[in-house]
Amino acid sequence: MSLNKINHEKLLILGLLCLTFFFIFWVIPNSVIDPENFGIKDGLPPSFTPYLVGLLTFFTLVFQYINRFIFKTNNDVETKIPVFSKNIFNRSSYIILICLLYSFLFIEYLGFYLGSFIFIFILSFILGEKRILILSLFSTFLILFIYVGFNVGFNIFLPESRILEQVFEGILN
Amino acid sequence: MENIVAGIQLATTPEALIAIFIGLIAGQILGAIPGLTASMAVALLVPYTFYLDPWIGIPMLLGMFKGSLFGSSITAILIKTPGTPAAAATVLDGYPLAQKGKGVKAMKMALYSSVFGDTFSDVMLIFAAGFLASIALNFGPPEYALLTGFSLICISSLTGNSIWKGLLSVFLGMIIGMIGLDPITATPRLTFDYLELEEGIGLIPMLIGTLAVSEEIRQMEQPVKKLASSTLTFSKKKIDNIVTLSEFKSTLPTILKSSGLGTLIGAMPGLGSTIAAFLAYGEAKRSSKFPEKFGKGSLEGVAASESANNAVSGSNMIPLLAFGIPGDIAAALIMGAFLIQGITLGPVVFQDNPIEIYAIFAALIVANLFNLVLGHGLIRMCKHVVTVPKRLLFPAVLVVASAGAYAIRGSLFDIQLVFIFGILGYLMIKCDIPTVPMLIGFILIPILEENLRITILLGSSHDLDIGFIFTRPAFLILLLIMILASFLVLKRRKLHNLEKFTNKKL
Repeated sequence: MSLNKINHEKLLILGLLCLTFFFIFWVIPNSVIDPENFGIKDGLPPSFTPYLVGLLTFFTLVFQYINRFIFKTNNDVETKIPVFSKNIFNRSSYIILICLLYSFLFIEYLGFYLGSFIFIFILSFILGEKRILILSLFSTFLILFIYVGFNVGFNIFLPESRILEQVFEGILN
Repeated sequence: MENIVAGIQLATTPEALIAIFIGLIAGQILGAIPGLTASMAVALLVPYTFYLDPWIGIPMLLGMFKGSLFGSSITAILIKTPGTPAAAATVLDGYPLAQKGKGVKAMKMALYSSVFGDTFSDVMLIFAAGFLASIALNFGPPEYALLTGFSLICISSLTGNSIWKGLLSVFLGMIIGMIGLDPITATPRLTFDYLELEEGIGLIPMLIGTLAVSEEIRQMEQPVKKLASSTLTFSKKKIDNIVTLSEFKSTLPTILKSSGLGTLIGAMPGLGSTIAAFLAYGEAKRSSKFPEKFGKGSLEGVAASESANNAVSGSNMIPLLAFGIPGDIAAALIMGAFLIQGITLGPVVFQDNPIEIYAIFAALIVANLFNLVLGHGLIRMCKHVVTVPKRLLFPAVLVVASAGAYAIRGSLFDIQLVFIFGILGYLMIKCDIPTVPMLIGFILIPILEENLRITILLGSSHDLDIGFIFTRPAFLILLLIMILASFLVLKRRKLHNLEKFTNKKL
């Protein structure tokens, strides 16, 4: 999945230009509503800065495109192209997926402590730590450390498990 | 004179000294935990000061504040996770130094420059509180808008390899910073009626995600064999574990300049230590003889950001003591502690409570000396933590960082943001887009926008004539300084590019 430097930069600029258009013509009109009868005497409207930044982004990209591909000048000190070998791509995809599962599902449904225990266990296992005893002890020790530090020390109560709560409620009822 | 002696005596009682000592240790440890900021450390202690004698509680608070600022730089250097946002700029050179085996050297440089910056600003506080506060009070919305706008341009053009990528990164940060309620009309912006977004994106989750999580994802993609070793190895050579006198001497001009800049910024209410650190870093890079070393492990870079962010801690007491205006959240909390003890800060405090004021000055200086001693102990302790293999350390850091992000607002959304920004940062690294300008854009946009819009509103009271800003002496002086600085930045960048080009050709 390697691209040459020119094509990579061209693709990056064009992709970012599309995103900028999307931001200016869809995101801002649909998410920033100026108060009614907002006049020049009231100062600048809330949509002013988003439009200004959107336009500045647009002009920066167009300027760079013209400069680089029409006038063919290059003021950059050095440019790197992304390295995405198949192995790296697969590995980083797994890691990102586990991180997303942890933040969006594990903590919400299993609670911070149980979710984190499972997260450390799985991620360390994928990263190469195959000794189950070490994994279990390390995860338990870390969770205890966080519990003592946050819950006991500072009275900061980290999210609790929704599922376990329902299970316990079911047993008690 | 009697008041000065009485103040020093009050601050150096055994109880007060022990309080400073405990405050510093607690502050250094809290500061090293990502997500627990200096303000948070102080906030945690403020309620307890009510039950303590004033001259135990207040020195403890001051010690905790100073300790947390240094503690935050330890994790910034060793695991690329700033304990507090103020240490974010320290990551830029501290972490590359640690990767070269010079972690202890970087931490020691951070300690010395922190203590230097701190002491510098405390001395300025003692001798020039009134004068500096009067300069800072001349700064109105037009000057703040100009200062922040200029900082944005400077930082985007100095960070990374291409100006356009730096600018894009700044713009992205500005867009993210606009999410939430409009600062003037309180209209929701870019929230799509999503309640969590109305509070805006939290700085801590964004910092942890962009700086730490992105770097960890990048490192975790390495082959399994490489992950069996520890994240960092420490060089055994003595020279790599100490800061030599000649190294300190060579960074002294940078430390002095950054301390001055930090002191000035601290004296301006609302700007804070994060901005001071990045501005000082940018300025140090601009004026350095070796700008190409910045971002790759320059001691000057560490010294600049650390001395500037610590210099803020003393000088943000200037508007607090002189006018009763807290410069940042931590100063506001310290003000709260004084109020609890029945001391109202402001112009009359020098007349009503002179002994207490001199006692504060003495406590600040004593805290700096203790910080220097205790800092060495913390460095030794933290050195051992990072010897854990990467495959165990990375997941552990991610979990601790998530807990820290949650602790700020008690929001699950903040944990999700940590990982979303981690992935965004990772993609930016892959596309060679610098992430730091994005953070600066994010931090500065509320200040820039608010002051710009207030300036326009002020213009509408001058018959819609924005030209009134040119009648303000402070604005004109600042503009002149900035034009001069821009000229120097462009000249330096041109020379730097030319040098690189020549080297390549050769």
